[in-house]
Amino acid sequence: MTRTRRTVALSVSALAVALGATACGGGSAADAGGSPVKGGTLTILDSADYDHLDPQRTYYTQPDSTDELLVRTLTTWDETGARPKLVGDLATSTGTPSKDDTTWTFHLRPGIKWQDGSDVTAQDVKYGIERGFSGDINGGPPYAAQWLVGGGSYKGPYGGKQLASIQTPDQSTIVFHLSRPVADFNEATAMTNWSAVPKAHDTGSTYDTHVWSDGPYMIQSYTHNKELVLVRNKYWKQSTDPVREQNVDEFDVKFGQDQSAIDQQIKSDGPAAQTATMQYPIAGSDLNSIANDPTLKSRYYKIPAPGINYLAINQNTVKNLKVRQAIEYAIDKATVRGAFGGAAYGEYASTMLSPGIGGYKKFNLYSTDPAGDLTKAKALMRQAGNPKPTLSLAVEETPTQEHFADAVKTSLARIGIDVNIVPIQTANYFSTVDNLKNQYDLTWGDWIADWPNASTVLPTLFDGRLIAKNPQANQDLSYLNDPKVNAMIDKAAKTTDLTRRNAIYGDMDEQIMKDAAVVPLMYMDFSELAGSKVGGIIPDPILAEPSLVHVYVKH
Amino acid sequence: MFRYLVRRLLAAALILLVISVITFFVFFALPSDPALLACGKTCSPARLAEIRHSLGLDRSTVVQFWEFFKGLFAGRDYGDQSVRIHCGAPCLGVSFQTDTPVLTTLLQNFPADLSLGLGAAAVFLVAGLGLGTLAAVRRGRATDKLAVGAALFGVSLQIYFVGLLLLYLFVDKWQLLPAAGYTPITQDPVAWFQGLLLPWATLVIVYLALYTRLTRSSMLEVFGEDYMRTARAKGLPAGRVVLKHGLRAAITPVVTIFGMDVGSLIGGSAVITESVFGINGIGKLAVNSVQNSDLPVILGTTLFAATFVVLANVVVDLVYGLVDPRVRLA
Amino acid sequence: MSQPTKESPESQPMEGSPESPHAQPRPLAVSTATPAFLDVRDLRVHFPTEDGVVRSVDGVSFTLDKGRTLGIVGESGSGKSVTSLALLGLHKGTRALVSGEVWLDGRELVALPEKEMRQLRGSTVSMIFQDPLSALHPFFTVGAQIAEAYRVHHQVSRKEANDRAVEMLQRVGIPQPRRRAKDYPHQFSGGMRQRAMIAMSLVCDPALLIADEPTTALDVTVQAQILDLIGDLQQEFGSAVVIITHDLGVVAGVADDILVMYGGRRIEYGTVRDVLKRPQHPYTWGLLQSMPHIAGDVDRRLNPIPGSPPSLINLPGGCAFHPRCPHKGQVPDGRCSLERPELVPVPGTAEHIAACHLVADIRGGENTRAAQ
Repeated sequence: MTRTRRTVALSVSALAVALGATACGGGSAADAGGSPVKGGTLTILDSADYDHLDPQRTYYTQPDSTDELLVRTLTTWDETGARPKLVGDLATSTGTPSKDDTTWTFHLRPGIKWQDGSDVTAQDVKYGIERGFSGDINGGPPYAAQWLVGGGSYKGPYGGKQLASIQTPDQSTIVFHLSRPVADFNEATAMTNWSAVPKAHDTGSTYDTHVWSDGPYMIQSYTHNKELVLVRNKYWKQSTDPVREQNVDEFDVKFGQDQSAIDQQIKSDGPAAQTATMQYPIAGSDLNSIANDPTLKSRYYKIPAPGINYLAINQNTVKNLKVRQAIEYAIDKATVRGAFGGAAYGEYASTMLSPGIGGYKKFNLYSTDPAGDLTKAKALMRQAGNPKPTLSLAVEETPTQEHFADAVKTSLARIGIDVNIVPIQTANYFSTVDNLKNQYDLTWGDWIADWPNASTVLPTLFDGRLIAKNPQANQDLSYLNDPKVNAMIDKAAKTTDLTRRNAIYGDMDEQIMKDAAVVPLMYMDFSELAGSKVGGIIPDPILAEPSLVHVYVKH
Repeated sequence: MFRYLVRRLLAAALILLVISVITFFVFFALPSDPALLACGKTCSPARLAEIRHSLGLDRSTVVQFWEFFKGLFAGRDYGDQSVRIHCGAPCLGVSFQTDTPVLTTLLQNFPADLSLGLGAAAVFLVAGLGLGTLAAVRRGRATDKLAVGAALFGVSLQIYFVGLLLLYLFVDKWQLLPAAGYTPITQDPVAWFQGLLLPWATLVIVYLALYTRLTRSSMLEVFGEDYMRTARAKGLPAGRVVLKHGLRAAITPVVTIFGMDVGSLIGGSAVITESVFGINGIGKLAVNSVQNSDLPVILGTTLFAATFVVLANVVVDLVYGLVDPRVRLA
Repeated sequence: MSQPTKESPESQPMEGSPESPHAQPRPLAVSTATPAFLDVRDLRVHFPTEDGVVRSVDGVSFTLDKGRTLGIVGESGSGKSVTSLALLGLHKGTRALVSGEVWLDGRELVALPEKEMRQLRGSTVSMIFQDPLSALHPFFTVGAQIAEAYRVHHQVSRKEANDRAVEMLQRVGIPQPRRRAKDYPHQFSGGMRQRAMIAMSLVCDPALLIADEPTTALDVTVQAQILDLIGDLQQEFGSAVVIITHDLGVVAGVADDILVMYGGRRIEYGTVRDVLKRPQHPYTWGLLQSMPHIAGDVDRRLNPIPGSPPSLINLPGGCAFHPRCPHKGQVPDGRCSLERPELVPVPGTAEHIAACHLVADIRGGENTRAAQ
């Protein structure tokens, strides 16, 4: 759910994106037909191994999706309906907040068992969350440390200390004390790091390969970079689980094949590939041909991600609002989208919040034509006194992004702005642009929300007061520090009423666009393909993955 | 001879030491920060420091190198918080990402490269020598032009292209073979063979061209030598002249290149082939480690590959000494 | 490619015994009535190239009996080495066009199929090459190379062949032959290598031995030893020997007959006595003058022939030597550049022929000056 992995996956495999190809996106085909069958093995073909499977360490959508089979979280998303619905998972309900949203209480369902038949207790949940504070258990999201009282200085349970702000009055009750109001705390708790780990089976930094299961499947074997085999957990009971099913006998995750080879294999639907699916998105070079192939329609999944592909405009260096607004009008998003793979990549964006995210408000302050509005752009430049600035543009050093950079350069040349392209090695891209020492006038970025709420997008990307706090991990690539936006962030955080809070976020999005802090480019979609004998896949728009929890194999 | 070997091996060890020092310091000179990568987005400075400590990155580069160097001979223990991980000598470190000793991972991935590299090398060497010799003997005639043309074609092909094409044809379209990949020979020899058939074919197609051309030109050069005329003047049949006197002399430069190629192939240079066919070898490990700023693995794979290239050099020199009696190893 | 041999009734040799009495003096060149052991008739070796046909050997004839030695003399590019390779049939299977006849002991070699020719190579006809360092294979031991030459033609065990190799090395005067047989060519000195080369060429008792510049790469003392060795071995084996050299001094001591070649053609041919005492061709004079005399006047300057050998694609018209000939002015009407001189017998001998327009009396005046 962090942005880097998706980007890496795309850039590495999208070696030869067809330029300028436009086509209608094939609609996603949620396979509703047919009823679940038990048995069989589902193969998952992944181009790379997971960085972590340890629930407290995952932050990428592929292992997160797999973890849904292994570990249960306090809350989770029921995705069978038109829109994802938050439900209790380990917990009986979606939690009970105190009036000011600073204390959250969850009660555990009875009868949930570990893979050895023992009960899952509130203490296991507390221990699981606590271990994520250890320096050894790194990689996961930062929310627990940010919100829980004393979380900033707690260093995990391995030294023998516990975190007092997580209380377990009995075996089935867990209470969180937060240092500030968090109205959507129960949406955060659907992330895997809010899950239980039994202390007796914690193997510390090697837990990735030893994840102890309380879900429908458990690890049979896990060889890094090679294969992960999941088999049924016989202590899991359908009656205790509101979302998961236990249809196939085995999941066989095979790592390391080239993404194009995976695409081809599943596309041609040979005997081995008929029961296979993928977790990394289809390579950019294959995207158009697969998306537009009518024979693949029933097996092709276009999954909208709660994410945005954008171009940040540095407020510190591009100080003139008119110039920034001119840039908003001048960028030719049609060519830009072509660079990223065309229509199948996603819809043109005019807001930072994407349509699936709580708080999304539909508006467009700038050009209605995706190719841009040159007349308005030129007029704004004239009002700004026709400066002829040279702006630096940071992009990843990949063919895709270099095409993108060219599109931006061409767009802005039309209004007298010269663009100096700075390609940065993919692996170091975000650690470079996130560092305050490296400021660019224009910076490419993408962002996928951790859960579908504006609270995981706008405050993180545009709270100017955070810039100085995380000098090496600054997420505010626009360097926006607008008191109006900051005030709205604080106001939203204190607002417990969901509707009112979402309205504030919608206005916040509009204010950011008025500031011309960022050019939203595309709302991201991810495209995946499954074999013809795979049934029960539904799009998981939270993770932008094909959901595995209802999957079955036809025979 | 023995002293020569000892000297060469000592020199090799020195080269490896220099390579590890360079890799180590280049890594720290780069902008990538493994702690930052592990820390994720919105990383607070306190958390960053914590992770840096956990990865042992809070000490000076020199101290870290010394720890690494010591670990090579004495082994190391990792982790002071959760679980102790012992990394026995020769310890190449423990991956930042998987917390597995690097050597374990290397040895796990190595058989794949060994099978891939040696299998392909055996075929392209023998076939290359054969085709090259044939082309040289039939110089200027149809056979030669065909061989040279095919070689040129092969050289201009990219592994990426050949590999995907073969996969598409044999696995996807005609379904003659199961999906390519690596199965240990000890586990299932038939699957081992079937899975490696296409990767071998890919490497052979690309390398065969080189070896055909190399053999051909080397052979043509030898054909002009006086001793070839002597061999004919002795009354030797043409075949013996070419295969015994000719090949014996022409093989020397081929062996040199071959040694290097095999060394780097089994050291992980077949990374594209590995990637196309989903074989988890040293090459992919190296690429992943760079992407993840996983210093111990970067260092380990670099040293591992370098070891093979350096050893291949020594072996080539030894073989050279056997093949060419004029070379004295001293 | 060999050309079909024209067979004229008179050139049909060896009607009687193939063994020709070699002790008996016989007429040279002019007569073909007596069957000679080696009889080369009108040999031509042409190489087609992109620039034109290179006529390396263009109508060479000579005869040689067993036990006798012929010296073929000429500068590099005169066609003498190509002639020797043609005798071994080494042009077969190449682009060279070979025509004429080479009769060896009653068999015509030019038209002989490669398979049969191969069986003669190394056994009946063998060759000593000029640079033994490059002519011996660097990767095989000397003993193995000699044994191999023996085993090709004899059904013997490896051990027998090795013993034979050691025996041959001993015969050519290599000390500790059994040990040295295991050495590689680069471990031998220059003279030793040439001895090894000789041992290899003699291992099958060849009836015809061709030595191509056998002493060029060697220093003077070793040269003499090698020439003596060839002479001794010839006596022992009774072979016919062809020595190819650019140095008249080399053949002066060992040859019976001398054939002087220029531009791929014969220009003078006769017994060693005739050619050295009464050389007829200005080119031969030049060769004689450029010859260092070991026993002669130390102060005498070497006189290399001015100019360079002619192009074999475009031989000068008339006498091929005329551009370099200091005497062409003595021939009237520019005949030297217009008319190719015929090989004619030198007046007073039947065995000495030369091709030059100079009249006999002028030659007579010159030859006393040239020959010592």
